[in-house]
Amino acid sequence: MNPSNVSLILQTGRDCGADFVELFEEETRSSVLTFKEKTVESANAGTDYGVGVRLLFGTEVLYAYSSDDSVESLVRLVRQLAFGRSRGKIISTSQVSAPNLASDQWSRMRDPRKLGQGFKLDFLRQGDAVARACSERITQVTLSIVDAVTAVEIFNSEGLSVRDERARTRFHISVTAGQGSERFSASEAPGFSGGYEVIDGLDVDALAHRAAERAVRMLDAPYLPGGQMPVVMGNGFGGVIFHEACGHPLETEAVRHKASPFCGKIGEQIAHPALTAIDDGLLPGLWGSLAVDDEGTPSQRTVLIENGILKAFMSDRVGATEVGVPRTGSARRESYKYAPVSRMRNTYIAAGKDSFEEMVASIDDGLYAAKMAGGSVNPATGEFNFAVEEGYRIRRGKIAEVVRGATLIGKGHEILPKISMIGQDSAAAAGMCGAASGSIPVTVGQPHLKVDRILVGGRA
Amino acid sequence: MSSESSMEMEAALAFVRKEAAQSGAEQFDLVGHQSSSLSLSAFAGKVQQTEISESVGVGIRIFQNGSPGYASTERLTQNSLRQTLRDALSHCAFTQAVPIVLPTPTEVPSLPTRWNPDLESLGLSEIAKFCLDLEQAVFARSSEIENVPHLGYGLSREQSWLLNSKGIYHSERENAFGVGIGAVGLRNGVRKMGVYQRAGRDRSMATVEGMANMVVERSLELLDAMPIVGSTMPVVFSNRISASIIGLYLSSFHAELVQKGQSRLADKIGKRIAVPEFHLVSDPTRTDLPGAAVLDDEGVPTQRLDVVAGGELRSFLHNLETAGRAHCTSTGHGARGFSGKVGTTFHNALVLPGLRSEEELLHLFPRCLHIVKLEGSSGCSAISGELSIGAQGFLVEKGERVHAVDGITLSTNFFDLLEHIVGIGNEYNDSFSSLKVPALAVTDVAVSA
Repeated sequence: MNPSNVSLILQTGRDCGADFVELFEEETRSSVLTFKEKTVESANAGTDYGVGVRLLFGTEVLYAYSSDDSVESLVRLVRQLAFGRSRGKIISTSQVSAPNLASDQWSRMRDPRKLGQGFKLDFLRQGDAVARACSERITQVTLSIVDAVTAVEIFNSEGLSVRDERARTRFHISVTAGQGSERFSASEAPGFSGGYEVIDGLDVDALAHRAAERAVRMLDAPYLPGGQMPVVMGNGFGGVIFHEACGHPLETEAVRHKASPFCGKIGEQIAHPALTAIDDGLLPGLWGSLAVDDEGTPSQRTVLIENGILKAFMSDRVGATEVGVPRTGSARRESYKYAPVSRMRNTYIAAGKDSFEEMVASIDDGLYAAKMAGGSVNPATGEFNFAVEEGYRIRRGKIAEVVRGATLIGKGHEILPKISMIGQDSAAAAGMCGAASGSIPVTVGQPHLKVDRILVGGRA
Repeated sequence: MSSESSMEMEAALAFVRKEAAQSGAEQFDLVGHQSSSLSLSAFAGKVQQTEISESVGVGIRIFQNGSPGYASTERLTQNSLRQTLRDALSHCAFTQAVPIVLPTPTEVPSLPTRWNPDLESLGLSEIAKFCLDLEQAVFARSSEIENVPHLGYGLSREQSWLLNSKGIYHSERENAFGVGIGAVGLRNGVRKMGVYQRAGRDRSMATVEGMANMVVERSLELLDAMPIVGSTMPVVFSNRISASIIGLYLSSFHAELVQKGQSRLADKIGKRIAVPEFHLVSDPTRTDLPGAAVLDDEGVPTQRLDVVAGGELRSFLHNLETAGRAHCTSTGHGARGFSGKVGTTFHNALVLPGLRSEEELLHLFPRCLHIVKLEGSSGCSAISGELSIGAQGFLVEKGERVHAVDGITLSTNFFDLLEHIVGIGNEYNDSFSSLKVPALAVTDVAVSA
């Protein structure tokens, strides 16, 4: 955006009495190729473009956005937004700087915008063929590769001027197996920060095998009888439970609404002493990594829980001010259509000292939740609910039969102290997280974990 | 980023139509979307966030050698629109030909207006006053209300356009308001959240008193929940949440999923799939609901469609593409946003009401669960019919509430559930929704606790 227009819009906000004014301009070029029925089902591409303007009066947020970047339109929106506010607090803006935050990774990127969708075809065909070859019971294979390249510019009335470029690419395969009228679907969906170079690094055969074999295996699985029992949670996407049940309540967005069981508990023991949890935006190439957050604050590694003691909340500008904690570079938003709030990046439980075999051996009758399917949580009450995509009964210290239909239910702050064993085998998985500022890419991760007791929904 | 100026929507659509016509494409259609909104949220006696927005988008579907290509943009400049058209044309090279002939203009009845001028007089100060009064009223009703973390009021305006190369030019606009509140009740260290929303075009439906009463009741009613012993038992799904259950499985009725081997209903047309009392319709003529339409998003005239009648599966929902593949005509259920490909949707999915009140359904069993709250849907799959979901509600004996229940999961299969319905309520809930389902009384649900 033209610097004089930026200054005019920021000044208009200040003229309206705002303590802080911020401008967020975004252009995203995205494309998706979807392969189904052994052919390309659809090819689509889009340009998202718009500008968001945020005014802060103390910690009260006034936000406006538009796809029209004309200075007249944006000034009109700012005035409309701040209608009736006090005037007279005119302060000139500082000289803006323009650091270039493009990383080495950016310069090495194979740019999707230049290579086009044809680059994806061989990977999709290969995944389809490998999955179908796994079993005659495979009835459908759907694959897609989605990429997005985003350029954002952030300016604020404190003199900040940042340009950041972000690229993300994600592969998705969903395999349906069928027998009679029974159907079961299993999927894999790795995602990374980067362009098409990340597709080159994918083991498409292994992903297709894994999804296909799981779909076939689960098709024959009996239902698990429900009840309270010990559970070993799988590594990688098993971390979605921590993300939902503990991560969201550790965001200042929940804390400032007093909608978190962790309010006022910094420095207190909230989990088993074996547990350390981190939210890290700096891990190279991970799906939730960022150079700067959506307020222009450099990203960082934030230790949330250390040896069971609550160390920090994830915060944005408003949340940090209201809760009285440092900013952690965690302000995120789906797009210019959302004001930023504190959100997770790559959140994981650090590796411990136990082995998977030791965990299983310690259980007489329980569940191994090898692959989670996703879930939800109410941060205000801590109540969560997660489905198990692939589960196994544990009998007398050994993995036994595969089981289906299991659901884990509980309260996040009550489960944390019940995590008694933590494995050495950390793994991470990509996901999309939906909350107040839209749907954003995040990574969840953990080693295998043992929870001593949790309610498992099933079918008697 | 470009310094080129943006065009108005109608000019942008005319520009793309002209460029597309000159591109040599066989046929094409364009969708335009323009929206604006005004919203406000409050917390702890103060306005916390105010938001206004304006957004636009244009989507292109174009056919070369029978193959469709899609692209979209939110940037209505000549350069961006041309790039979008080039993207769409380039995508035709990847896709398979589909047997589609885009529709020509036909006479359709005009839809009653979905624009209430009264809503346009709604200002931020009035919205703020409503929210702050509502928050105060909620706290005043009970000392057990600990917190009101969610309270927002919004007004939205949308206009959509559909144009195609056969001459269709159709535009509609609508506005609506919505108020939502979530309050947390606290008793003996246990917290429960109650949620209540009102939305529509008549804002007199949302009153401070009415909303406060409802949300407080919902925040407190489950606070003394006690455990129960897991078993297989009858369940009455309240009309508060019955639509959430049915909505998870509606895609089973889409021809697209059937054709792709992802619906268990594939060979069930003409067969009984539910109890005779179960009727499911798609009704675009219900102009009081948000799914009303005279044309679908491909320009095909809509019609009321009996999907399940008397428990028998009568029809799947088709768009032009699925109809072409099945050698039938579209049922007028094509759905499309400007940035996506054409899919399928119900226009107001209605499970037709039965004869009994929800209260009477609870008397059908000596002992049952009355479910009023669901938690998460990840254990539910439209493909397998798997239904495993957290729930809260009440243990009911001989029609009377015994105590509140939480920490349970319900497990069954949706297609079994349709066969196990023993009663359908006679009343929908008060939501402004295109999915309306009365209370459902169902036997043989596995309850884990």
